[in-house]
Amino acid sequence: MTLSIDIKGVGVHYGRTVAVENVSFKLEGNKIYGLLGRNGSGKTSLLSVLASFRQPTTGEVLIDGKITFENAEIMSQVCFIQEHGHMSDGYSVKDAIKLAASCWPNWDEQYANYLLDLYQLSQKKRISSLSRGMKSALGVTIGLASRAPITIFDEAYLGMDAPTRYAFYEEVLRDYMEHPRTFILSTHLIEEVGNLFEEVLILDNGRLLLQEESELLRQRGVTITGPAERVDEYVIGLQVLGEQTLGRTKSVTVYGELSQERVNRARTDGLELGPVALQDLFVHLTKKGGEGI
Amino acid sequence: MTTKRKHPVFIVAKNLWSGYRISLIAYWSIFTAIFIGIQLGLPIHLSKEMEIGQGIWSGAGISPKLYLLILGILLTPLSLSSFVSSGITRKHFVGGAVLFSMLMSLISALIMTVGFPVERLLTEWFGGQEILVKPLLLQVGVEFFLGFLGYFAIGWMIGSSFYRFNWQTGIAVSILSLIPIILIEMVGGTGPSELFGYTFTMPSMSFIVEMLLILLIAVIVMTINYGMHRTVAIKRKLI
Repeated sequence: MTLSIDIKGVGVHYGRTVAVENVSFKLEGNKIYGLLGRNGSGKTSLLSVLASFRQPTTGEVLIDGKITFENAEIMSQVCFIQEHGHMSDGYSVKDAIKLAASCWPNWDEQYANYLLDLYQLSQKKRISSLSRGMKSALGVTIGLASRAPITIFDEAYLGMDAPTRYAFYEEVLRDYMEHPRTFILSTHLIEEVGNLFEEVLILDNGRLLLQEESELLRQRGVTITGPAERVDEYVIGLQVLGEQTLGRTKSVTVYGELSQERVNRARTDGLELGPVALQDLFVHLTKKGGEGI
Repeated sequence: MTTKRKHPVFIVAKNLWSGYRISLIAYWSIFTAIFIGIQLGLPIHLSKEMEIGQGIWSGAGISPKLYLLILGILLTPLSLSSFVSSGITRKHFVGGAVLFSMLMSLISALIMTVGFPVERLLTEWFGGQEILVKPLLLQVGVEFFLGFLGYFAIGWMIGSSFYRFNWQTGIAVSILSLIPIILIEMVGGTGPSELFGYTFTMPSMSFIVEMLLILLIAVIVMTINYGMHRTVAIKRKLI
């Protein structure tokens, strides 16, 4: 089941504080999306609205063309997992799994048991007695086993140690290949998870900075390295996102595709052109506040 | 792979029941143990001095009311987030919670009602001298059921107001919730009711009218609860 997502002019305000302002985008679905943004950029507020955890202050959220808030048909198709989880601390792992199993229409019990084994989660333990990593693992188990057509992980795996996080990334990819659906991963661990994203959305100060296929986005960033004077001359007219100087060598990150002429000129000028990691691009884009993009 | 799941209202009611039944069993076990203990330990001469017709059981009804009031206070802060984050709408949560509150009130009312003949039996076995009046069990049962339901609904309203609004509003609602409590006690009680030294007396009404009034109070409070849940934002778990 492919469910499209249509966010139209959504704003989320907490009293006088504006968390998200006039954000609009469409997601066609059946992809792994990355929602990136610095702390306080409005990621969680936007995802909360998408999952009907709260009403938008302005605008509307449509899934499959229908308003999502308090829509039973849609809400049962959107699973939103946050790091702290929403299951009561008094529940045991077994209780939480039982509740999830009875609520999610596509629940895969066998897969849930496999994940519980993978993350070595004892069903008898109370949620209050779980470590931060174990709580994350429980959230991830519920999110994956829900097999909800739209599954959202909002920094849900932050508490896990590195090997467990990598096991989670592998699991997301494997499960996505076997059961294609829409995943939205909100994170700032871009270096680790960046390769999973097919499309990236960047939020900054409550506004959508860009929405781009991740491959295209990577191609838009170029690092030019070489003697400082030649680099300075070369980047005139390009959109510079950041620069670093080490002795007489300078490295400049520019945003935007380079024409073939520019590429040839770099060769003749003895400059090195290199790709920019998604994380570096993100850092540069959000550092500048996205001006001019 | 989509499986046909139960109606969300039943999912909520069933899960709430699974979560709270142990508490209900524990509460009533302790309650009856204390009652039996008092029956066993009550000296015969004290038993003789007791007012004719007044057993211990009839005066114990306030305890389950308070138990259900507290359960109601905990309901939304403890459970709403779990259900909404599992894809259940607020409307269905309220529906399930109403069913659950009816079930809890019904079970409690049944136990309280059955307690009267049991008390008579125990009094006879233990050699008590007083003659206990025989209440009309059906009437007593209905009265307990509606009273318990009302208290549960009022507790739920207090808990929901803390969840929905800020703590100041929660405290204001807690104080205002005394109004339906007084009304329930006035309507359901026999004779004058006393609160903070003031005495309230209701004009005598037929039993059915009394029960309809208590039901109306419970329904109004439940409706207020629904209003508070309709658009509430899901918060980080509080407990």
